[in-house]
Amino acid sequence: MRIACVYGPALALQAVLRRDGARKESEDAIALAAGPGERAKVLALTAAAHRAGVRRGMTVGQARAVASGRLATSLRVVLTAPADTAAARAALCDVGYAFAPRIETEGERVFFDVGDLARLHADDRAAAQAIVARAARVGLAVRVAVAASKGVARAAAQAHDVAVVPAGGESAFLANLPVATALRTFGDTSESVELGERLRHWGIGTLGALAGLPPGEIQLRLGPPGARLLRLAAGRDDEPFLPSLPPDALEEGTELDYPIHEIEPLSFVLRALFDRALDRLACRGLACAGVTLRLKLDPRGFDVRDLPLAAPTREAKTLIEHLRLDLARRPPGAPVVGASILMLPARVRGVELDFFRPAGPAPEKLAATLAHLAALVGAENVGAPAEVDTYREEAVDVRPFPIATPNPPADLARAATDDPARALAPALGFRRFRPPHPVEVLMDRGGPTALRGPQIAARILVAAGPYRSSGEWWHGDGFSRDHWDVHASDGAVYRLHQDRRDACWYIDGYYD
Amino acid sequence: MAAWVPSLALAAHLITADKLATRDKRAYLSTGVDALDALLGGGWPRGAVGELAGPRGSGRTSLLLASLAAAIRRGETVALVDAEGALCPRAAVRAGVPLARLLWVRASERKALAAAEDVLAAGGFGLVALDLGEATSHAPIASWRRLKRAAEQQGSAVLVVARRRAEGLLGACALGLVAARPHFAGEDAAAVLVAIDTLIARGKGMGSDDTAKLHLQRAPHVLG
Repeated sequence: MRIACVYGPALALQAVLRRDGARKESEDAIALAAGPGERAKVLALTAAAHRAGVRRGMTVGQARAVASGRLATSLRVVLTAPADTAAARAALCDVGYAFAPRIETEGERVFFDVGDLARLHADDRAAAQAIVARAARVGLAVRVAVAASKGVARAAAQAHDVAVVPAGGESAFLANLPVATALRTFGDTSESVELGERLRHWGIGTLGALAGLPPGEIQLRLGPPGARLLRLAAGRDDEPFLPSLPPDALEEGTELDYPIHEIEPLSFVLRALFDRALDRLACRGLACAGVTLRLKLDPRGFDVRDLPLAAPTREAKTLIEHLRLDLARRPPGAPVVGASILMLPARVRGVELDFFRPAGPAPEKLAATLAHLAALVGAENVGAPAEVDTYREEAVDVRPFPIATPNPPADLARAATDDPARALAPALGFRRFRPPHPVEVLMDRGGPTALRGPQIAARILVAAGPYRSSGEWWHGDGFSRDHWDVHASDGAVYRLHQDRRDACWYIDGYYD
Repeated sequence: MAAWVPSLALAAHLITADKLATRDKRAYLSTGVDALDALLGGGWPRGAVGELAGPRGSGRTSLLLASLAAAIRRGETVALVDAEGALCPRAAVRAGVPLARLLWVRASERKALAAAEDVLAAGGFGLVALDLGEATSHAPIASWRRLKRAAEQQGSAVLVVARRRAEGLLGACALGLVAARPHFAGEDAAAVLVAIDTLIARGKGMGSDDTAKLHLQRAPHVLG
């Protein structure tokens, strides 16, 4: 097994830069801080800030003072944003899922098996470079190492941008790795710090030097952390690889520095979220089948709304328009100070073209069009009409329009023979009023004689009926009607009904 | 493994090499009604806008459903943008429209044109029908021009159905339906509507004497 470790150093800082769209962070002096005001502590910093003398653990005030004389522009301090960090961490996971069906996550690192990638990439180095490129697409700068075990890959990724540790050559590869660098992979615990100090006092600076010491003595003097470090130095790693499947939904979020009151600036923020989320879905070859938007309101509360889509789509423009229309219909009740989106991934299936039939719309384009139409007129108004199993004549259902229509040969055979009778005398159509229009009707003993309603006032020349229908009384909202087909003096043949419960008259529509 | 043997019906769809060159020049989409096809010179023109106008009860909906059914039978993808939500699924099924293959978009008159443009933009639709119903379109001329251009670019037939011909649309062909005459069987309380006769006239691009009578048959023993 070949395991890749993808390490996103200073992921919290990268998350903020990713949110702001600043990909080339090394060019600017930026420090990430957490805490109140000027006493906030610097947690992470860019290379430019490091060159200016800023160090982790400084207060913001100290950092500004140190950097003031050495930078052309002032030091930029950004505060940690948990929502952005979570989104960046999830994006890192998506990089893994782009290459493997299961991955293991560990803080700022993900691990996955790249043994099968040999069929797609020339060698492990090419695969590692592909991983770096994929991460750059979702706005992350990562280091990648490929090795036979997790621990070795983790240590190699800590020290190199791209590293490939040959199988069997682990101890030789790690021999020059500084002990301090290797210990950083154990986490910032007091045990690690103490272990590093003791080895430094002994004059042990690299893993190669450590590997030459007797294991029993190391175990006795340095305890389990020392033994673990020694096993790593020898290239022996028994840490199990525990991968897991991807989550069902994909989340992106951000927190705002100031409240937003209007839809237009909010849609700019949401656009960035959608772009990032769709980039992540693209990593996995998926499209968005539905969105749940969660807006954090000022001073408290949330606005949660679901946006069903007619079909999976990868177009941010369509999604944002859908969302903008929904926000315009139901604006949030308070200013917005944070937003997160939960996307439901779905696979867009390709369709094989038919030799005998005209090529229909491309599935992905049709999906985008359906989503766009849903945004324009509402998802409930787009789809394929369907009959409902009821005697209520106006009932109609709207089902999802199939993106890929099956075209079995039998279907085509039926289509090939047009009905000659139908070509000569087409079936009579009917236009329905939804809902039925209320009308006034004059009756005599023979039936309706005149009707008056919205845009209709006519004598009735011929009346055929009544045809009685009733049903759904078992639901509690049943109906009982007397229907009439009437030829009115305006030339049309209307279909009327009288509700037998309240004796009111309605026009169902007309034959056309 | 058993070989797949195409039926004669499928073989009829095969195109010979000499016909292949002229295949894309079939610029008409059948209306599904012989008389109407004869009037229009083959059917609704592809890559252009056709108009169907007439008062209430004149048979607009019947011809619209017949056109949709004929297009679907030929394997085209079709859409109906319905400004009044007036489609009756039972009537559509009786006209031969497989409902599952019809993209139905209910849009207000104000949004109907934009919805039709969206559908056309997807490409691949053989027929896009825009049913304005009783509404009088107030769409600016520029909107109709956009629709025409979209139809030309995608090669789709666009059919606009309305009470009157839309101002500024200037469709490639237009049919006017005049008031129809219903036929009832039986007398008084036993009377049943059986059919409507309608007259097609005033077609754009047709001679002044070009008319056609149509007998729209109602399916027996069916309500609605």
